[in-house]
Amino acid sequence: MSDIEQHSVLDELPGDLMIWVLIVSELLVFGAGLAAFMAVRIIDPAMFAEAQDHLNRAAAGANTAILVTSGFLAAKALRLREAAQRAKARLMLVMAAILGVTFLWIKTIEYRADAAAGINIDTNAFFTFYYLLTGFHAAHVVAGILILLLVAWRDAPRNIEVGAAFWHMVDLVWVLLFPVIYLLR
Amino acid sequence: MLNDKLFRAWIALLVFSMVSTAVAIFIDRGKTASGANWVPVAAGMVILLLALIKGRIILSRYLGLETTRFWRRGFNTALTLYALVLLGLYLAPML
Repeated sequence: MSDIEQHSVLDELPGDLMIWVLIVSELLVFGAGLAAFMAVRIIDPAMFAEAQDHLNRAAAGANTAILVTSGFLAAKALRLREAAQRAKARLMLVMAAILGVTFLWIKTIEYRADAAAGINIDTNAFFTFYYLLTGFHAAHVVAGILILLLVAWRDAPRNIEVGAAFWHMVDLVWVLLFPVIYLLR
Repeated sequence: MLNDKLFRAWIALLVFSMVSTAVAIFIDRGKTASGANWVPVAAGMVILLLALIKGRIILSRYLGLETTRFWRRGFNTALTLYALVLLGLYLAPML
C-alpha cells in the first residue's frame, strides 16, 4: 500500500464533503419542486397570475435582502474565526440568526394575511405549491437558525464552516424560489 | 471594504434582488398570460437571469467555490442548465 495519498477533486471542495452532499440533495428537491410548479403553470397561466397577485412581493423582496445579508454575516463569521477573532465571529453568527428570525417573522405576517383573505393550501394549485415550497423552506430556516446558534456556541472553525454552508444553501434556495413563485408573470 | 470580494458580493446580491422586485412590481401585468405583450416576457427573462447571477454569486463567494475551478464550473453549468429549463417552462404558455 502506498503512503502517497491520491489527489481527488473531492478534496478541492471547501469544507466537509457531507455538507455538499446535503446541499446538492436539497437543491435537487427544491429544484424539482420549482420545476413542477412551472410545469403546472403551463396548464393555467392566468389562474397562476391571478393567484400571485395575492402575494406580498415587497415583503418577499425585503426578506430576500434580509437573507442575503444574513448569509454575508455567516460568511464573515468564518473569516473572523479563522483570524482567531472568536468574539466577533460569535457576534456575526448571532446577528445572522436574528436576521433568520426576522425572515420568519415577516413570512408569518404573510401567511396570516393569506389566511385572513381565506387563502389556504387547498385554494388552488398555485397555493398548494406556494405553501409546500415556502413552508419547507421556512422549516430549513428554523433548522439553520438553530445550527447558527449551535456553531456560535461550539465555535471551532470547521463547525462554523459547515453551519455557514448550510445557511448559504438556505439562501441559495430562496434566491431561486423567490423569483419563480413571487415574480415571474 | 470595497476591495473585499465578500462585501461586493453582498452588495451585488442586494442590488440584483431589489432590481428583480422592482421589475416585477412596476412592469405592466396581466398581459403575459394572454401572450400579447413582449414587455412582461422580457421582464421575466431579466428576473430569471438575475436569479441565475445571484445563485452563481452565492456559490462562488458565500460557499467558497471561487477557490476550485472544477467545482465552480460544474455547479455553474448545472445552475445555468436549470435556469434554461425554468425559462423554457416560463415561455411555454406563450407558444
